[in-house]
Amino acid sequence: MTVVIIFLLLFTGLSLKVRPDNKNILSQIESLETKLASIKNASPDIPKEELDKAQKWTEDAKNYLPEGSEESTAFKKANYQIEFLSTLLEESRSKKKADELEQLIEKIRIQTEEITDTNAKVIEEIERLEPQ
Amino acid sequence: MRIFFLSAYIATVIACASNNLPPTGDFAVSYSLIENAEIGGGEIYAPDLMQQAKSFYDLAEAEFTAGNYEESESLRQVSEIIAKTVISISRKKIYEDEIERLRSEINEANSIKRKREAELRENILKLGQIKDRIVISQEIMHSSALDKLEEATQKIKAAEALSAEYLSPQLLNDTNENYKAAEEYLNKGENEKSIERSQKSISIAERAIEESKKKLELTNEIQKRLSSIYGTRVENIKGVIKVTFQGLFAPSSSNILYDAYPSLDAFAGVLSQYPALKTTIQANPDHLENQDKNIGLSVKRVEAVTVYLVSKGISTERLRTGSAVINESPADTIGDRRIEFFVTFDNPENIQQINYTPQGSN
Repeated sequence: MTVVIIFLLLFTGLSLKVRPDNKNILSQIESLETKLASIKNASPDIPKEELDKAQKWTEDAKNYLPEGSEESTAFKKANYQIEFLSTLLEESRSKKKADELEQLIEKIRIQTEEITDTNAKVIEEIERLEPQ
Repeated sequence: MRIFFLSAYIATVIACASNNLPPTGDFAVSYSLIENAEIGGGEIYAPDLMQQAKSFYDLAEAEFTAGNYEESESLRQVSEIIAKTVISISRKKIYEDEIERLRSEINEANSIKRKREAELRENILKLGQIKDRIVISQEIMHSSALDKLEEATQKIKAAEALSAEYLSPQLLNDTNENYKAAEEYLNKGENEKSIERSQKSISIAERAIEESKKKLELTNEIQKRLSSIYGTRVENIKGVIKVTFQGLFAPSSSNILYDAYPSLDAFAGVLSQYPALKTTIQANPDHLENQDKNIGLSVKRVEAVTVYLVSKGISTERLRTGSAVINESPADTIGDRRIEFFVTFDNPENIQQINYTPQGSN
């Protein structure tokens, strides 16, 4: 009887420890960690405090994994925070792109002005050499 | 919602302080963020997330009211994160719109630039062609200038080759001056001016040649006519026609002999026929002991001839008195009483430049 009870307890413990839901969440947390690492590496413009929050909530999610209610809140926060960081990264990239294009258009305009000035000089030279 | 929050906030401040509850001031921040997300276009750019943010905020408020402060704080944080995400998405959309606008402007600017580049290329090509034409034109011009200068050289040589006494010194001088100027312009690369001066030099040289030839022909013709006058001896001394009349006067007299009038008339006729002719009259008197008398007689004879020629219609402006020739020995009396006329087309002053030793003098 005792043996049966021990087996039942062990079975129940093991079942709780490796629940398919937990496995799935763990895998998602790992995915979040990977995302966070790549965001950290991608842009120095992301505020550090926001990165720290994401880091903390990801670790909390891992730590609270066996406990049920806490895990879902920490995971949610980490998930939303990393999504927020991804958006910030995209925003930063868009801003950078817009700045680059702004510089590019300025460069094109300057070049066009230079070309126009050079052309005016060439026309002046033509008129000097071959007056109408 | 805000009124509710503020009421709740006031009501729970004391409890929060004593029971270590989450600070309700953070709700205001979250609410403000949601409002900002909405104002920034969250409903347009990320409507689902906007809805989520509001839902989480409402849940957070509900949990707060229920006294579940920790759950409330977590939900509030989630709503805040979502609101910030929405704000970021909205900003990203604005940047994307800006990128779109800039790309359109870049296309337009590039189009203008390409157009200007094409114009510039076309004009540079045109300028190159003009410069090439100028170089060719300058080479042709230089060659023409050289040819003209050579032509001028030949003309000047041709003019100089003619009998010098018939060539106008003034014209020769002018042609040489123009030639020098043409050379200088050529050396300076001013080909057009060089050609102009060469052409001028050629024209003057041609005129000099023409005039010289005419003068030669005319001189020959006049010389021939004068030679046919009775009692004259005609010589051509460097372009000046010397006509010597003898036996015009009786010894020691300044009265023209009757027999001499036909010859003088014929001479006056030649002068009348050629109005451009001028003459210098010079008398060679008798050999007398008294030199003063000798000179006086000579002057009187020149005057007599002058008066006669004037009476025949010859203008005094065309007649000039030459210096008297003094005979110094009896041998010099040979040919005495002769009258000499130096006929020329030029100014009679030119006669003084002729290296001529009158016959009978030393």
